[in-house]
Amino acid sequence: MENHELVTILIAEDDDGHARLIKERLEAAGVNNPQIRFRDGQEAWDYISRSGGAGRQPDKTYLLLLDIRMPGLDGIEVLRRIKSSPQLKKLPVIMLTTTDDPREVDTCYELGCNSYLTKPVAFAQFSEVIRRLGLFLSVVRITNLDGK
Amino acid sequence: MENKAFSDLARLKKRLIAVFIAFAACLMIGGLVYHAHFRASRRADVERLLLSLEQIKLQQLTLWREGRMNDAMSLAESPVLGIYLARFAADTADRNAAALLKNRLQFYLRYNKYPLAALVDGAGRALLHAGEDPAGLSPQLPELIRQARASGRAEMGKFYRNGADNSPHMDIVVPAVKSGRGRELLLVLSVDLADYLYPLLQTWSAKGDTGETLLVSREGDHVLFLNDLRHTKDAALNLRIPMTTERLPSALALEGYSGLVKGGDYRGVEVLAAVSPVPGTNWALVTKMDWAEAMAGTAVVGLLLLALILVLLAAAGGWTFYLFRGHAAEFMRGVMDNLPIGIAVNSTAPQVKFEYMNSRFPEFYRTTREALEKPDNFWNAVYEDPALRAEIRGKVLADAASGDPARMVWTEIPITRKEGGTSYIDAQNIPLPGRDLMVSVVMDVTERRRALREIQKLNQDLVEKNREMENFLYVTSHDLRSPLVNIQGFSQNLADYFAVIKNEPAFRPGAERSEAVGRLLDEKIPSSLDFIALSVAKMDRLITALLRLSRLGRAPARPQKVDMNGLLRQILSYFSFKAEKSGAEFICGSLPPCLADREALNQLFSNLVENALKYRHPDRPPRVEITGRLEAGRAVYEVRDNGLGIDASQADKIWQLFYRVHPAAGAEGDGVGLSLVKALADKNGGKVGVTSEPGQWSVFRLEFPAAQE
Repeated sequence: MENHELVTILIAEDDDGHARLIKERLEAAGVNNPQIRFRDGQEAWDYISRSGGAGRQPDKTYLLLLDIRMPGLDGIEVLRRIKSSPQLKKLPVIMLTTTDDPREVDTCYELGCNSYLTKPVAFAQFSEVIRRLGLFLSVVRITNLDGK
Repeated sequence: MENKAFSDLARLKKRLIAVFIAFAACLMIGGLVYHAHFRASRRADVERLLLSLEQIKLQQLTLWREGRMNDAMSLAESPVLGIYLARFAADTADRNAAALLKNRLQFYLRYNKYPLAALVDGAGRALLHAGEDPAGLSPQLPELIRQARASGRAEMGKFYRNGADNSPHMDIVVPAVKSGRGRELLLVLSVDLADYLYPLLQTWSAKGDTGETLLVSREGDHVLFLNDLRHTKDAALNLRIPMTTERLPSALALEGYSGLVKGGDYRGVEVLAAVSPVPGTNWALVTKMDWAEAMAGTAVVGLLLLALILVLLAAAGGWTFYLFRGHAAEFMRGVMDNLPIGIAVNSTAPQVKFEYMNSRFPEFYRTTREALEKPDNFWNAVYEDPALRAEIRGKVLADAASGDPARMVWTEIPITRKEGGTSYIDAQNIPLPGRDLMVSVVMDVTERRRALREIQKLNQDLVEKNREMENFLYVTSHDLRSPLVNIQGFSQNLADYFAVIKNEPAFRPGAERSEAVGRLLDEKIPSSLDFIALSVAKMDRLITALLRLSRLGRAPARPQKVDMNGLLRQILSYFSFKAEKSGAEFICGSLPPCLADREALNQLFSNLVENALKYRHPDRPPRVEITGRLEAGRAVYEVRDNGLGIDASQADKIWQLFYRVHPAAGAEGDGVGLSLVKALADKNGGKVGVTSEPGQWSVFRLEFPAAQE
């Protein structure tokens, strides 16, 4: 039923270029889910937590692609907030970063991120990753956050 | 301060000992000389005494002999006897004459000390006598008669034992009748020697226990002692000693020697004697005294002298020791006062009372000796602030009372003065075993504390700077990578878009397009895209290397024992594919294990091997040799190649980030590898260095703490 509805991909990415590349690569990989892009952590958090009144709709399912380094509220902080909130902690979060620094990876997993993607310079590789993500999205059933 | 005392102490000790020995030697020699002189003079005194006694006795003896002869002669020639003698000689049967003669003789004996007077005939027969029984007369009487007859004078006979009572006697014979008519008559006077001569000899006018005078004569090979002796009973005419007895004074006298003799007497006792032959006789006279008695006083004097010397020596020794100790104490005081620590000996309970303190002690406590020595004033003198004083006093007293030496060490105690600020001391109390005393040691650690604080601060700053630097590197490389992702991504997009455009029939080669557009499509645009791709790839490598470098600083090293043989096997097998392509040869000796982070070593050696292959000499196949050994607790490894080598002028720069020795060779070189090697070595307590012959070879030398086998 609702499971047939496409998961909405939330992209928190401050760099316009990166955001566009991600979008393009997702499309190129055949991921046609709806996408919403946020320019920084605060914007993303406001949407997800509905702290601005508008935002996330309880009856929809979401997936968050979260960049770590962002001005203001950074990705780590957003992840911490999500995972420490009882309502939000089931939201699947995939961290995006420019490096594969093991410490950073560890921090993210400790905070409870579901997956971790390095933004590779060679976008061919990134496309491959995105393709696998598409596969992941089509295979995994993501229930909506309120568990309905 | 007491420099003189410092340098002089050893010399002073030697000098004092030398002076003492010289003094002792002088004292002993003086004592010996004095004692010898004293004995000699004593001996001379005794000798003089003996000689004078000998002379007196000799004179007395001579006078006595003359007296006895005169007695006999005067009696024989006395007119009182003369008439009756003539009558008796004419007729020995004349009783009247005989009776009168006897009467006269008896009368004579009454007033003279002769036990017997007798008239004998030429054959020695007694015709009449007065006194003792004439039967005991000398057996040598006939010989004596012959002598008297020949000389016409009185003659003395030898000493003999009286036949009647065995007492020593001597006879004097004188011809009684001079005219040749009638019977030959001789007067015999017998002398009881014990009564008449011996007392004369034995009167010893010097006091003493052993002195005596003896009269001897020679009897064949023997010395015959004529008088009674002080030390042997009944010796007169009985005691005989061989003439050959060594050092026998009487034998010497009998041989004619006259003078002083030291020898052994008839008892064998050591004696000093004056000897001389008695003129007109075959006697000799010996006046002697035991050596022991002669020297009796000298032993006591010697002992007294010895005692005096010992007392003087002891006094001198004591004085020397006192002098030295004074200097030694001064020396020690000099040492103690020059130490950079304060030392005191004191009691702590019931109050701090000082037995000793060196000059540093009050100095470090920033007070005066006088203040500290005032009774129960230590705490007031040292700690101005009452609250601090009470606190420190309580703690120190509790620690001291515990008796636990480990608790009696106090560090960085502040000593504060209103003027002059705060200094810091370390103090320690060392209990003296078996006494109620402590050795208190105090050191001024103000400067040390300040230096330590400064070092800590510098260290802190350094850590801070390092962290900032690493953070800067991290952030920078992160942020550099972000635009790079875009450049790469969008140039990729452009390449994709361009491929689409190129595939349009209108733009394919051979289609209608201008020459300029054709060049752009076929040549310029693809090559531009390629340049961008290449540069991006290179930039990526650089940033990746920078990130690795920054990560290195943040990751803690985990030193462990690393089996280097295994590690190198693994590394070389990783490179074996590349090696095969270039015909490279790897040689690996036996390597000792070391103590370092395994992953760091892996990266480090991988980098070195990779460099050796990367910067190979084009004319020969690469050859990499790795050797290792232990040197003074360090594991030393060498990686030797036969590559391009490094010029000496560049040897220092190769460790710098982004520095490249051979920009042309090995396009993939990024100038980070050796920086990483150095950083890894530093981080693991190691060292790295290089020697090289440009165009020939390079040797990288690495050093790490060795692991126990």
